[in-house]
Amino acid sequence: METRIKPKSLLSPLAKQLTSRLPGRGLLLAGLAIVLLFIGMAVFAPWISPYDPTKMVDKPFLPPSLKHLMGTNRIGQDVFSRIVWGSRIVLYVVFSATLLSMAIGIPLGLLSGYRGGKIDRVLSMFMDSMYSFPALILAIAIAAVLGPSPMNTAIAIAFVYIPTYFRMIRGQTLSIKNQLFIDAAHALGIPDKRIMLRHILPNLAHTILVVFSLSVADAILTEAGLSFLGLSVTPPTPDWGYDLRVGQPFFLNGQWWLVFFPGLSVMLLAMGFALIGEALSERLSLAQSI
Amino acid sequence: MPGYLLEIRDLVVKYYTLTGVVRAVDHVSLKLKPGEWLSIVGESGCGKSTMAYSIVRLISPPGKIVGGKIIFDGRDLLGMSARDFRRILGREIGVVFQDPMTSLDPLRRIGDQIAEVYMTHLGMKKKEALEKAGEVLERVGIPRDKISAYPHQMSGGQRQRVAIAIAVALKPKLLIADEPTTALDVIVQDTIMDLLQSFKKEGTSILFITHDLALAAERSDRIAVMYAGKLVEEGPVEEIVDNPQHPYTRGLLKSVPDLWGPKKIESIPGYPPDLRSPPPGCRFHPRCRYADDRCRREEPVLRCLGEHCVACHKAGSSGVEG
Amino acid sequence: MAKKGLGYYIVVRALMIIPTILILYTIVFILLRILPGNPILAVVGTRNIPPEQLKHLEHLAGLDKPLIIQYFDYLWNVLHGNFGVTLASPMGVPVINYIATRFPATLELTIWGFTFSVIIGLVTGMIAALKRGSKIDTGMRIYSIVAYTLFIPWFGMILQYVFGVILGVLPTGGRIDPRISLQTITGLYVLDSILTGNIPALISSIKHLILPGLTLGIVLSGAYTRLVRNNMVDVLSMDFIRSYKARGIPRYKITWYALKNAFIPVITLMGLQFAILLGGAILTETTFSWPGMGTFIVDRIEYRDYNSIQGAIIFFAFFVAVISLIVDVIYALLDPRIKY
Repeated sequence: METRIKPKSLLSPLAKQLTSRLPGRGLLLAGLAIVLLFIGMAVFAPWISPYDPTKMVDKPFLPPSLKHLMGTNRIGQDVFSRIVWGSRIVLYVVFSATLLSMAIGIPLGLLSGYRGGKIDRVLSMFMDSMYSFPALILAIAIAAVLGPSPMNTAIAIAFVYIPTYFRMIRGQTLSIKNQLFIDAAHALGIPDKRIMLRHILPNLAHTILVVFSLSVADAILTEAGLSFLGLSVTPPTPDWGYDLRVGQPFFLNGQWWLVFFPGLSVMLLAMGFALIGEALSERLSLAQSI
Repeated sequence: MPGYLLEIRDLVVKYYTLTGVVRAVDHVSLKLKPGEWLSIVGESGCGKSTMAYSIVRLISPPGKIVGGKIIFDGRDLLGMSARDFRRILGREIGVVFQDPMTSLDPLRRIGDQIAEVYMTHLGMKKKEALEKAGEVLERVGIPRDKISAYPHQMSGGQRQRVAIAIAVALKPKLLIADEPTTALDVIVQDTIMDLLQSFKKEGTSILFITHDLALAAERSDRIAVMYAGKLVEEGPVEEIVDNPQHPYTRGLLKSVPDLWGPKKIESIPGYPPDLRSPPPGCRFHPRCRYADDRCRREEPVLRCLGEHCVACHKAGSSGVEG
Repeated sequence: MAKKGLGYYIVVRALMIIPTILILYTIVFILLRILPGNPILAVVGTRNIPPEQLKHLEHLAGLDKPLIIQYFDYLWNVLHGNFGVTLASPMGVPVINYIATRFPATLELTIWGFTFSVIIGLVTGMIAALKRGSKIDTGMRIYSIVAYTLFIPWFGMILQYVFGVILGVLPTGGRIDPRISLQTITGLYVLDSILTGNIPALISSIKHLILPGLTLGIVLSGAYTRLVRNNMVDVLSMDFIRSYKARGIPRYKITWYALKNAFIPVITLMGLQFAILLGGAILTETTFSWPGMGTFIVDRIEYRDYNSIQGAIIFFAFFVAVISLIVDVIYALLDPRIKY
């Protein structure tokens, strides 16, 4: 086993990955480029988007042109503007959901792995069962009960990924727990809470980063799925999954731009995070255990 | 001139790794007579296994045989088509590998794995082949009814017997054994060696690869010592044991504990060189206490006195004595 | 002896899914009941409804009793095949009636999607492993990432457009040509057509399955591609493969043995993949107007029928547990190292 180095922050491993010339750097850079493109789009939406995404700005069903880069939809909204503003919704929902599942999954995983015993058995049993349940169906159930709103969608998605974090963190904690430097910390009389937060957690930074990238990729698809089923936002809020569903009948009539661009955005954004996760996990050779 | 079963001429094998070219086997020549037991001895990484795998063409990228010839029973093994070569492999040449725990397919019954050799090479039907498989199992000392067992249901020693059974099933002319006992405990080791020797008595030549000179000395007819991809000494077993000429061979002999003598065990100082950039001159000189300027400059060639060959500038001179 | 051992193993495993089912039931129950607010109000939305109608709906959904009673009542009912009655039009129909007609459609779709995904994953993974380090290997790796990130409705619609609209060779929705009558026995149309010797129905139902099956199959094949490739690379470097080579065994046979060994860990993935497949099936069904559990759930969400949603989700929990049992048994059958 390589010796574990305590990173200063969660971001420093990423910085290290970027500067090292290991294989997989291409994947990482491609992923980062895609992700940054979409984040930039979301942040600067008011400046990038040429039209109001919720208003009828031209005739309906105009094909892509210089005036409307991605055409207009059935009620004359500019598709490109809806894509740009839609990235805000997706990123907002997905990041809130992921942060929420991290906030619950990571402490529980740490506790379960570190303490062991009854707490561990009960938590693991619940988390494993939840993990084995179809994520999208679980999210649908929760979202249906909570009602459609971006925050509710985020909560529904958050539930789905708690077990992912829990399982990973618990497994890693178990393997770190028995290493020498933890024994040393015990011998020095450092309290458990401090050992968990100061000695174990920093060593999980790499793992968390990998799981984060992969679960965000997955959550993007789940969010799009929920909104495709009408469970995320209410019209006229711009949302990729919803626009895809509304565009379906027209798509088959040949108005391909109504569906093509929102779907492509979902895929690209998910792929951006998946590429980052893939490249990082390859270097960690965690690829198979996730 | 006596007929040789196996002749390795000037073999060169290189590994093209990301960090450089490794010369794993560097211009090595060896001969093996029918019915003879030849042991190749050396530390790990000296190229002995690479050489054995070259004979059966199991060198895969980044490794590559870049020079030399291997003549087996009058045929050029390296120049043969893959198809023709496969007819020889398993039929005329058998191979036993180091780790019996991993050298059998975990998902297939051992009977099926043995029978497959008969079916592939002799075109036997399954039933007949299983019958033969039972016979050869008994020959290696395993009850016939184990034929339907899976590898995981057997001990390491038993598995190695099965591996040997497969290797000798078709009574090959040559049996290559790559450290077949290293992974086993000492008592089992001995019975496996006995088993190998019994096949030698039936006329099979044995090429035995080991890091253990004492083990080799017990059973071999001849011993070849390799160091850093080079053949450094070769000759009849008595010559090697009683009259070693190369300082490295001496070092190996001294590192063997002796039950009957108050002999001091000495290890050879230092480590084998990095084969991506071996030292100039004699490759052993950084670890050799007799080394002089010539050793550091000039690579020694293999010189033979009768059957006993050695590659050392100091060999035969008084400088190495003691 | 081995046979008796396996039977015993299956029974033990079957008993072991009971806790799994209970946990899944509990999780779904808790999530559906403990979440803030009155579930009836949440599904009915913000519209004002008369209090007496709300009371009536709560009574129908069994929500007027204490939580703990509800928990056991509902479990008891579910174990007797009673998933409650619909709360929206048509009101009062047992949910199990819907499940009985919708579930076979989902099962048929998932079986096809599953089969496609495994076959595609095995072939692509094997090719990548045999050509490891080459451009083909890189290509397969990109394929596995792209396949994984494809958004099912989008990909499904593109297939619909290409094969259904432009080429006009395959239908874009439904399970079977409505002009063909088919006597249903199992509810799996392909199987029923074969059982009743109905050739036109067989052709039609297969044609209807190809696009949704491929959509699901391709999206889910990425995970297999990657796992098969990595396992196969590992297996190919193992000693017993080298031993096979040293025995003069033909190459195609060695590849087959390697594939068998590489397949063992893939079985473990199958259980998890099946769960993802069920999630994907909901999107696929919606995209292809496939009358299965997915479209049922989505319909009932639009009707805000709480009981039906709950029933369907609980039913899925049972189904997932059964699938994990089946996967375990297959694993035990294929790997002689498993002790039972």
